[in-house]
Amino acid sequence: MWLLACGAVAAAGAASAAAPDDRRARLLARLLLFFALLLGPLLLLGMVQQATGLPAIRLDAGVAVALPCAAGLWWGRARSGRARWNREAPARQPISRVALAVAALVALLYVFLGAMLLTGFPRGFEVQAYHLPLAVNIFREGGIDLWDNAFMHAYPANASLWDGMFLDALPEKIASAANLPFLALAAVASYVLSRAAGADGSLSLLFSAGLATIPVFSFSAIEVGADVAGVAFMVIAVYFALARPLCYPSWPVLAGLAAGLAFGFKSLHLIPIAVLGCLLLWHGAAAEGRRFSVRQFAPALTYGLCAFAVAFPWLLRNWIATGNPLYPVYYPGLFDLLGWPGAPDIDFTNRSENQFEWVTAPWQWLVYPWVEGHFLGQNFKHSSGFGAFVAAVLLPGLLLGGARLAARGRELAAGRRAMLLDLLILIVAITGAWWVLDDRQPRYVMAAIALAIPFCAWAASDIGGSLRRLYEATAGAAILLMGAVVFVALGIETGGRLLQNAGAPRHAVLEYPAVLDRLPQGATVLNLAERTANYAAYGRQLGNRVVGRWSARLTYRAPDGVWQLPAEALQNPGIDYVYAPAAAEIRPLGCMTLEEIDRIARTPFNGVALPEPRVVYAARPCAQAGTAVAPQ
Amino acid sequence: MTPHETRGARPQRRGRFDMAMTAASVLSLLAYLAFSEGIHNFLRGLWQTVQRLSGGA
Repeated sequence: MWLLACGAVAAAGAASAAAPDDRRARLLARLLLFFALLLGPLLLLGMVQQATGLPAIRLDAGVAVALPCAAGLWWGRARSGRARWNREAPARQPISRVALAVAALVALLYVFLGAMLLTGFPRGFEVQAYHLPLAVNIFREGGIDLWDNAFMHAYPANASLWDGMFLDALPEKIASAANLPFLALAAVASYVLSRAAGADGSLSLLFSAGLATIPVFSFSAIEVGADVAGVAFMVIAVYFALARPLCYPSWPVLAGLAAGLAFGFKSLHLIPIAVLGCLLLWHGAAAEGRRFSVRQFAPALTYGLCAFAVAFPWLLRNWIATGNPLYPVYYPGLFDLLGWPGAPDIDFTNRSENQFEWVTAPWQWLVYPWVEGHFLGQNFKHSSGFGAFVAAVLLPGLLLGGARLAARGRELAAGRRAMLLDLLILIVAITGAWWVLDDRQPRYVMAAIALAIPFCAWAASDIGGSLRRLYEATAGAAILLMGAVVFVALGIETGGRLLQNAGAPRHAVLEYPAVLDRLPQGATVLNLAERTANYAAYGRQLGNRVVGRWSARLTYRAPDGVWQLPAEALQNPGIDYVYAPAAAEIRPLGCMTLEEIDRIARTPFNGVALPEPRVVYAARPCAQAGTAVAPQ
Repeated sequence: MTPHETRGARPQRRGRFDMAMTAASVLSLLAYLAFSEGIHNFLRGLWQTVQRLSGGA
């Protein structure tokens, strides 16, 4: 009910957004405000929790904060005197049949995938390793304190706030599809930005549908991770910053709001956020016919302040907990100068080995979409695969479009030329930073791919006649091919299992010993199994507390691979149970006993032996041995 | 530089560019189908699934 109330308040607030003569800007402003009014109050409550220590994050408190925010937006709109802005839609351009058909098929595909997802439990490696555990922790503790000392748990966690809303208010299976709205948002944002960049309706629609089938987007969207949402808000920020529509709230506010949300989903977006700020400063400084004044820089300052305000809860948390607001991000020199420490369990200056998951030599990135390897053969997944649409449409479009802009850019209106140049600068900056920072995972350039869509749609919008039909057919074929990939991956290969598992209990689907579902409320489980078991270990009611696998490794694992559990761990962090592979060597130190209370050795559905059985032990002081929770 | 904006541009230049864009896309798609390990693995897996299903029936 509270989630419905949240949605109603957010929708009411979003409806206050307005834009004269530009229904697309109005649509995007409303969508942005809708999500901001869902997430913003929780971020504000997180800040309150950091400042006071009170467990402030709750859905009902979120509604209480969102209400005055929505009312303030209505009041501000009325005061702005623009309540009667023109609502007439501009003349519509005819959309080609290919674009309409492809977009309709892609929409149908996601309706189908959404229905499939609702039959299963949330999917994804990082999702189960930390996005969902953080989501459970945030809403149980009422705050955004760091879970533990693992570096990846200290990243901004808007994704966990979003997932936590679903887990807190709705059945767990509904949370499985919680990321799909962000894919739709990214597609809508890329469409609107394409139109603003001068692309026609057909290619804008076709390419936006194409975005939704690029494997790193589609496979990310069917998990509940952070990548797609971060890109969606980044594209929205770029739209408001570059198109600068006359609207309420003003475009610098909306751009900053979107940028702050993008950072909260993925701190990597700090790079395009900063570049966008520099572009705004540059345009302010280059404004014609004005003397130097603060007003020239007001949009850039407003943008920066709004982005900072929305990102602030995460910066504050990390600064209080670690002394480094951007923790675990650390680069020697600059951060040393600022006195911001790095994380002991990650070295950002030595990540180049990561790229060899996808290529065998760095030069192969030049031909990656056409070669598209993966050392485990997992070519298409949340972190892998650009697919046919990027290879056939976006890369040629960027090269030839760039050449066209260089050769004939002067024929364009100044505003249009500046927007296209800015898009190119952002794409180059994101890709360049990706190369220089050395952690070359394909998903880290997702924002550049999304920003390439408006540029390429503009570049190809001049094509007419029979060439146009051939071009659209080529793009459409590439899009449908990659749509087929995700359709087969989830709809057919995984779909059978999802349907088979539809009524199965959680422990059978996630493959963990059933006793984890029956532990006393608040029992603490030490997870020594794989990282993805972090989420499973919370149990069916999400009532257990979990010491995550990574943190356990940092704290309890000896160099020889043996787990050493001191008896003090029974008090701090209060470990009650240990979940571990059966083969793991666990050595209790001091007065502590470990008693096996349940295990899983076979896949529940087909009886096939698991590669490694997994066991739950009850951990007790010596005197209490023999009072184990009985397996069913 | 939509058709409206480039009305003054020489049709010959526009035609060459349109041709280049279209040809590049078609060739690039063909190259992707020819060389991408990802799509090869996908098609191979799909074929095996189809064979398994038809064999099972």
